[in-house]
Amino acid sequence: MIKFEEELKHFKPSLEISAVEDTIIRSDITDLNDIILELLKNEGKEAE
Amino acid sequence: MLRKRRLERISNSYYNLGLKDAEARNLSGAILSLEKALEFNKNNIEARNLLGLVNFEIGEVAKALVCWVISINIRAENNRAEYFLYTLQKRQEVLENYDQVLQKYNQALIYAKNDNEDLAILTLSRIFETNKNYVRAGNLLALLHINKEDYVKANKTLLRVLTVDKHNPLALRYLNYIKGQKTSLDTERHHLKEALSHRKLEDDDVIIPNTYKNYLGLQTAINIGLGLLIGCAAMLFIYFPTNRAAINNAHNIELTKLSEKLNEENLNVTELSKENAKLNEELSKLKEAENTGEESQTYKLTQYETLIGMLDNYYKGDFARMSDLYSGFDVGVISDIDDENKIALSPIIDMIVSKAGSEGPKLLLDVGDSHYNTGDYENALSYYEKSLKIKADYVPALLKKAETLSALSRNEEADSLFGEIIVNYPDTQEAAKAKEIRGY
Repeated sequence: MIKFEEELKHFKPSLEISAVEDTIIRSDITDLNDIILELLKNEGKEAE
Repeated sequence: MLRKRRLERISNSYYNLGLKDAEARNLSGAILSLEKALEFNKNNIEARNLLGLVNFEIGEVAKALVCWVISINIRAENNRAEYFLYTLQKRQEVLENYDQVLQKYNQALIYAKNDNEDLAILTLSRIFETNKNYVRAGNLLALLHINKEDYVKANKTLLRVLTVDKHNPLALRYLNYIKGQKTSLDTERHHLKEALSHRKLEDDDVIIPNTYKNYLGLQTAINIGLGLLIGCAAMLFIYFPTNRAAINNAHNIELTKLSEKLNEENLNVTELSKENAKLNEELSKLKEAENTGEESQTYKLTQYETLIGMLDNYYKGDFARMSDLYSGFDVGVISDIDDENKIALSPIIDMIVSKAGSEGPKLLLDVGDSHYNTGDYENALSYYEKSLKIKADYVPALLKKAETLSALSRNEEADSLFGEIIVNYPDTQEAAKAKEIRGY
């Protein structure tokens, strides 16, 4: 059974072209490697 | 380093999965795989570019731009994303159109969330009409149709979405729902039909056997064929002959009119020919008159020339020659010259006429005699006649003429002239001579 209101909540607005610049600036392209490095850095600091 | 290498390999594996999904048109699955690939390695340019491409294909143009711009920032050289961006940005109106579509979708979403479903449907229908690959808009439109129980339109929209993104989970879910709804509806419709069809059979009711229905398609085709044949036959045997007769009749009337017109024209031609003949006749007359006129003009000029010749000989003292010219002179055509010089020719003519009249006959006779004595009778005759022209009753010239005629063996004429001299001038020496020559 499809509930209209429930389904509607899942629909998000599309990114508009005017917002591309802001999106790029705010974009987080951290990948797993960065996370691991960060973790290792933090471990090192803790060890110290 | 090893860790990084491992992460890159995992990223590439996800990229490969994403590529495979994209090739199979499972764009939703491709997006998930490619995003995973970037989580493991943000520098995976190929994955990022492909993600942009997939987003572009499902109508998420802005997301595609984000992917490609970041891709360029990571690696500027030898990057396919540069071409993608260049293609989109070289025509500004194209990008503007895409932006408008995205804005309209967002607006339609607001309408839908604010219970303005009709407006939302209208807006989304317009978007989806020209951007059939905009998956998100298609899904929302289908949901709105489903909410209105317009399953036919919802079905059509979802099928279009699934053409772009074959395994779009939302579209598949809605489609399954519609199928279920349709099945139950069909069943209800069928039950209703059956319920209504339960009535008592009458005597004249016909029960159509099932086998008949099986051949219905063929029967229809045969019936249509027969109908066409009958129609063609009717055209051939009824309509065409009638039409042909009508056309022939019209042609005959036209021909009659043309014949009448032709006769008329022929008559006109005959008339014109007659007129032409008349005109030609008139023209000949006019030409004749013109020629006569010309001849008259020439004749007049000749007389003036004669006058000049006579005057010239007069002043030279050659009166014989002057008289000779005078014998052929037509004094009647000469008129005074009536221009500013006002030359009067009459005195000149009188002078010549007087001289030629008094001395001319004798002088011309003498010239004739000189020719007669040398045996040139023709010329002698000519001068005698000229002498007689000036003075018709100059008897010596008459006698000499008669003698010359006799010498030329023109005896009858000679005799006649001798007789004339004898009768008209009996008391003259010439008459006696004439008698002598003639013999009586």
